[in-house]
Amino acid sequence: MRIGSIGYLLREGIRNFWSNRLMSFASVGVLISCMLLSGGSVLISLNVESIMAKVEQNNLVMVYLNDDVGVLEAVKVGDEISRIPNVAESTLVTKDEGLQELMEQVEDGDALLEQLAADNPLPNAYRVTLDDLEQYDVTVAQLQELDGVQKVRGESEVPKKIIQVEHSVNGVLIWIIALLIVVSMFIITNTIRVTMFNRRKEISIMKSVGATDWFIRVPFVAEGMIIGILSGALATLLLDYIYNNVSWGSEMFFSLVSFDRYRWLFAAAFVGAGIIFGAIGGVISIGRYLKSEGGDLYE
Amino acid sequence: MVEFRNVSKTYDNGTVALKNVSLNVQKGEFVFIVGASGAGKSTFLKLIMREEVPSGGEIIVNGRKLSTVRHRDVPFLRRTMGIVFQDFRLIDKMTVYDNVAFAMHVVGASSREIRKRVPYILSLVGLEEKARCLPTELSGGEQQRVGLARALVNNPSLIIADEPTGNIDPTLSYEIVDLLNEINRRGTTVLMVTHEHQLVKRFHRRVVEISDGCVVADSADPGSARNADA
Repeated sequence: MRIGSIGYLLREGIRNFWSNRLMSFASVGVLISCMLLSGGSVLISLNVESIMAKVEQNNLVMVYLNDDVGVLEAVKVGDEISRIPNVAESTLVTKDEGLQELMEQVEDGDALLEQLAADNPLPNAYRVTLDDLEQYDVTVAQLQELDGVQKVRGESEVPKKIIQVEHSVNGVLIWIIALLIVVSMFIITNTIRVTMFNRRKEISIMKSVGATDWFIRVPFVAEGMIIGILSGALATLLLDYIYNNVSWGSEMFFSLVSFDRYRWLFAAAFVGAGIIFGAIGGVISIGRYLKSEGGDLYE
Repeated sequence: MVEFRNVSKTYDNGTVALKNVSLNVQKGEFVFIVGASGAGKSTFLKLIMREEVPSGGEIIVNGRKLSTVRHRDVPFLRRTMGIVFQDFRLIDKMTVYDNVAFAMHVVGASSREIRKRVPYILSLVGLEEKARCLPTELSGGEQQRVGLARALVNNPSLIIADEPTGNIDPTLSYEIVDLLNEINRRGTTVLMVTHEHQLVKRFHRRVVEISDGCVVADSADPGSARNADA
């Protein structure tokens, strides 16, 4: 195919889009809705993940050592704790530090501190953070089994709930996106079919004067791609606007993931998906027309 | 130019359109194909254009056996022939100029070639004044001349005209055939299907008559079959 023809064919694609504009804009609308739904699901998932990461950071497991474990021995236990694979960080909290922290949380703690300092009831302890909350139970059990460990305390319900939520959000997300892909393909294919039906006379003439299959196909593929690109661009702008401007309730207990970080990713994904679906839709819809011959097509 | 060797065509629904047809059209000839409707004339043309493939026999166009032409080479085969339809098949939304230019775009001609060639072809069919008109603003005869211009624009070696005068006022039919004659005089082979006997009688050209899927008369070879006039 000549380079000069490509310009001609793209103009034909735009002409297709415009001459069938009611259907074209309808499908752009449907595609935008599909993309907004997919994008919304992805944003929900991103937020869940970000909450998850924060919870993971804050989710401390306190490992209390036996009363008779002194600071020196405690350091040895600390080495063993660090050796457990899922342990991200472990910080020694000595009896005194523990007491100090405790007193800071209590009003008028200073007086109490003085009284208790003589006979500190707290054991030495380790503050441990985990890499992966899904391994929570296993890691806690491993900590429990170490020599000198009296008690491991953490909140196991929170991470479990969050993991559950994350899994189900991701599961639903995949199905939503899969469904929307099918819907989008169906819409694009049908829109192009309508254009093709309106232009069947031209197609039959093109075949009779010796147009190659690709020459006939390209304007329709271009039409599909125009629909896709337009939808992708508008969907990105809309998603940005909606995400940043809709009132989410000011009293959120966590801060939302910023859209700025993902804007170009969304734009690339939407426009990319639009181009691919449009192109595939174009190729699918014209298949039948390419098989039948000029006269049959027209009559 | 076009040779049929024992060609038969039976459609999937069982209709027998052509039976053992053999025919040879030389380069530069002008041939009328006549016969009643349903005799097999359309099938004859469709086989040459390779819109249909024969059930038996061999067709040779421009020295190429059509049975060896692959699907993706069919467009290139068609570029060697110009097709004129009874119903003109012009695109109503396009001007006369664009209708003709369209055929050149399809074969990948450059804008420069198109700007040079289309006015020339339009002047050849006497429509240079109507280049900016829409087909609906033209008479039937003029529309068919646009169809002819479109068939000619890619400089084919063979013109296939399927009842080109069928939808035209009979008095204007002559000018279409005159044009085809002129094209033929310049070296292009012309195959014209028609059932207008007046036309055939007026222009003394080779006449092939098809009836019930067989060639029943051929003025170039009276011995091959029963002569239609006899």
